Amino acid sequence: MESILHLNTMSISVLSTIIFLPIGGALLLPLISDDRAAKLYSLLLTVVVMILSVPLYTRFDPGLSGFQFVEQRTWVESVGLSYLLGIDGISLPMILLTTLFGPIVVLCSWSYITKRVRAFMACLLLTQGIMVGVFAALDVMLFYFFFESLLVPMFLMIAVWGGPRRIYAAVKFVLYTLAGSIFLLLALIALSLKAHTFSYPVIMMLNLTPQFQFWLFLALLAAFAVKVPMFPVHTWLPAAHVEAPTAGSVILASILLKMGTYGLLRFNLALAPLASVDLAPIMVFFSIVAILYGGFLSLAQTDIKKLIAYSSVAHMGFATLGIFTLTLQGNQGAMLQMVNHGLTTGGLFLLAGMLYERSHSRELDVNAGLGRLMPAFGFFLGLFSLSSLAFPGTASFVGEFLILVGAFNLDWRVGAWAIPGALLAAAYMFRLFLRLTWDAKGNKSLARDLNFREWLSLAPLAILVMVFGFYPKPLLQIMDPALDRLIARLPIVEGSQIAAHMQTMVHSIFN
Amino acid sequence: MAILQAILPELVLGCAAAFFFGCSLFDVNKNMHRFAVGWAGAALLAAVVAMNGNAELLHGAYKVDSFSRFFALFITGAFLVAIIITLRLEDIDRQVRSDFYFFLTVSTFGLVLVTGATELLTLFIALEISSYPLYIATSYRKGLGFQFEATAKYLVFGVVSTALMIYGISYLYGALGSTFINDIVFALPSHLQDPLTLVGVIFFMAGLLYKLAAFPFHFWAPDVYSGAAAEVVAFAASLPKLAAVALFARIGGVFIDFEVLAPALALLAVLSMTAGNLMALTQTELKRLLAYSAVSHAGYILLGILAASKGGLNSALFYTAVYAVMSLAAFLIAVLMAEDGKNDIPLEDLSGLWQRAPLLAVVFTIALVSLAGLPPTAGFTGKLMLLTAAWKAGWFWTVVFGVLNSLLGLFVYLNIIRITLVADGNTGQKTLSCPPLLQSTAAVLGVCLLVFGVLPNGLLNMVEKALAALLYI
Repeated sequence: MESILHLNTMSISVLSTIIFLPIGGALLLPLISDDRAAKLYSLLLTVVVMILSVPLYTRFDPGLSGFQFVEQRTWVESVGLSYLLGIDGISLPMILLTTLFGPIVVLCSWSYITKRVRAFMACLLLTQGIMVGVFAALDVMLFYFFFESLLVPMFLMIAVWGGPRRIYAAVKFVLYTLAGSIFLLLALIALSLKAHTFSYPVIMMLNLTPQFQFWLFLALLAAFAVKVPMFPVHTWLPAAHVEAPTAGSVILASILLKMGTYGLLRFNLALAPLASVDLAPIMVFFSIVAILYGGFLSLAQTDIKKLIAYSSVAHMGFATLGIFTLTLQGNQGAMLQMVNHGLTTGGLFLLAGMLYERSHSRELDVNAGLGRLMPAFGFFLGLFSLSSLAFPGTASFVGEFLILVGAFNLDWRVGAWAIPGALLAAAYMFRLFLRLTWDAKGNKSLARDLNFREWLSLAPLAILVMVFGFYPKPLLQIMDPALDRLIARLPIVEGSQIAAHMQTMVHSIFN
Repeated sequence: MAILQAILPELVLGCAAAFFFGCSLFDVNKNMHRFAVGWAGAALLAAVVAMNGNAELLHGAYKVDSFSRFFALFITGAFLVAIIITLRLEDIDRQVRSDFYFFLTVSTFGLVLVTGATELLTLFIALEISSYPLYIATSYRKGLGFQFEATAKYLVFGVVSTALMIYGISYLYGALGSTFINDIVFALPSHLQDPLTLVGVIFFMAGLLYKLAAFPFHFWAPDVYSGAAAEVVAFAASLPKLAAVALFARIGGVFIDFEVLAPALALLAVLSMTAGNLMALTQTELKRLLAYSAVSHAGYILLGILAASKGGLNSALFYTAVYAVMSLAAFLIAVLMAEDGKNDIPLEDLSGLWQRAPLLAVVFTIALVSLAGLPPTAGFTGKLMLLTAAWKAGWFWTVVFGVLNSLLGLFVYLNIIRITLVADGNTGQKTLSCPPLLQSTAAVLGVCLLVFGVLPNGLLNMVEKALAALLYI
């Protein structure tokens, strides 16, 4: 077992530091009495965390199997809990994404948040640390600890600083999430009763019966499907996105949703491989529904944030589709999609927030034509819209392409059903882009082009979107070996069996 | 000397009771709070000193062991906090301050005795010592008489349940030939099919469930909680719970071996959780809501008791200790909000608390999150242990209800968190003046909840050590 845990060899415990520096920083925030100082302090902390996370990338060795930068300490032995952190090629991109967004969400709240600024910054710092914890935890109960600790700061972020229906949205978000994660708790307790520990590396080695795997898969799915969100349980997302302040929307879209797909990869696929193969057709079906349904709904929205929110449902549908094609390409694509959706949709929500700060409205009509008067804004909007619809040369293209390859490899009909989703994406994103940029109206009194702070928050995302569009290798390189091993755990990867399975499914549903 | 050291907490509490009795006789009512804090602090200190004590008194009917000292520590600790909370005591007449503290002290004394009693009649007497003063203290409240209804309910329910208990004890004596718990533990396995013993056990357990305010013995709780002064409720909500769980652990766990009893208890646990949470959903008054929340938490604690013979008691003990802290923290805020001699605390009064008293709002939120059982608070760690223990013991369906109930519970507590932290206060509300003593107490309670949640090792070790003294495990 030790061979898959490569202990941290750096002079500092990087993972612990980037988890607990922001959390500790949030606890010290009440000592600062000035709002501006609090913002600077939060910015400084998040930048430090971002810089500290860089060695994770530079020193990461993709060739090693198992987990790296591992930190292991005893925690509560009598219960089987241990403090076990570590990362592999699946969690590393997520952690980097999280630390990248740290300073960005502080910047985008700079002038957006006007009341209770210090409390808001405390919430931001708390979520920052906790989210890294979710991706770094290798003790499943530690994972759950972080996973659930997010609820209260996120609830407050939406409920205190959100829009008019914020209470409704915040309560809905928390109840949906918890309704799912109580099953996760059950699943984790069940696993710990089998393994006599909560340690993920040990649990991974368990030989679970197919029946146990089936229930395990469903329980885990309950938690992660809500987070993704997959088709029937997605309704909290538009509400939460629309009501949340910009920073909240960005965190939700860019990082929180990824916890769902991350969980599917880390838990469902890895711990219940038999059940994953058995249930994959159903998952594929719901993914395609999410792609099409999300796309159509997005097309009908007049609220900018709602439009982006439904587009998230569709995009995450692509990610889950990729995962449950159970092919290497599909999973590569899904991982890329997770990162790129984070960058792209995060950028779009930032832009929506900037518009709201100018016009105090999220309606397409009110903001129509503003892009024409604000060239820099128009540029970023164009770039992120293109990326969102997976235009070749932008980051999302590579991801969606790989997912579609995976889907066609599985069965051409699955691929065929997913293609209209890509077309829909073009339709709704161009609609947004056209209305905002080339509409004749354009209220000149509202138009103020981006200031330096806004440039600063958008530029890194834009650069990454372009870089990954042409050169996704740095990403693929770190996650390929991990995904390879994950797929290798599945009982039958290509084989005729799954295709047959899928065909009966496809026949019964689509025909 | 060793014996004196071992029973030091009892001695200090006895002296304190005598002191307040004297004050009451000579009508001294000034500075009572300071004296009370002093005595309670001394009692806590005594409990710390006596921590490793070991002694047998009254021919083996009263035993000082690591188990009873563990509870003595927590009871005196909770006593100290409950006394600190009575700083204002505006609901209670100045003339009866010394009597008030006398009753609280005697009740605490009785509770400590309960945890050490190893003979059923001693136990019964100790229980009565702890209960009667509380019946009286419940009626101590200025106002329009609602408190007397509370007292009457408390008294009648209490007396009936103790009557049931002693009736049960008589059956047990008849069937097993002894009232010593040690003898009962040994004799019981051969009497598992004996209906007479079973009847005794059932009556006895009914009394215990009443103390714990578990369904369907909970009907007194809401009225007592809302009728009595908030200070009294703070005491009554946390300390007797500790003693009740001590009883369950010391003797109730033995009875779980009865085939019919365990499923019944499991059912009551689930009903307690569900009924408590469902009723709490509709409450608009804080104290009443906390009463129903107490009912649902009693259900959770019962999960641990169910798994008693399979090593689940540590979770029950852990959770009870944590629950005492949570409820004291919640009531500390309740007491402060209940100023102006108001009869109750509508939840709306809490709105804008973050503006008026940020520290209290944060502590209150931590307490509520802990009651809801979310990480990183102690409430989650405790619930995790309870659920794991119950599952291990084979009670899967109760575990399912347990987690479903945490969803209901979340809805209840989230609503209060919303009012406390989110809503802007009305402009008319005055700022909440909170003395430094209460502020620091609140901060300590909040930190405790976080520490027990994230680093529960210390408390767990104490629990394990306490349980080592029990015979039947």
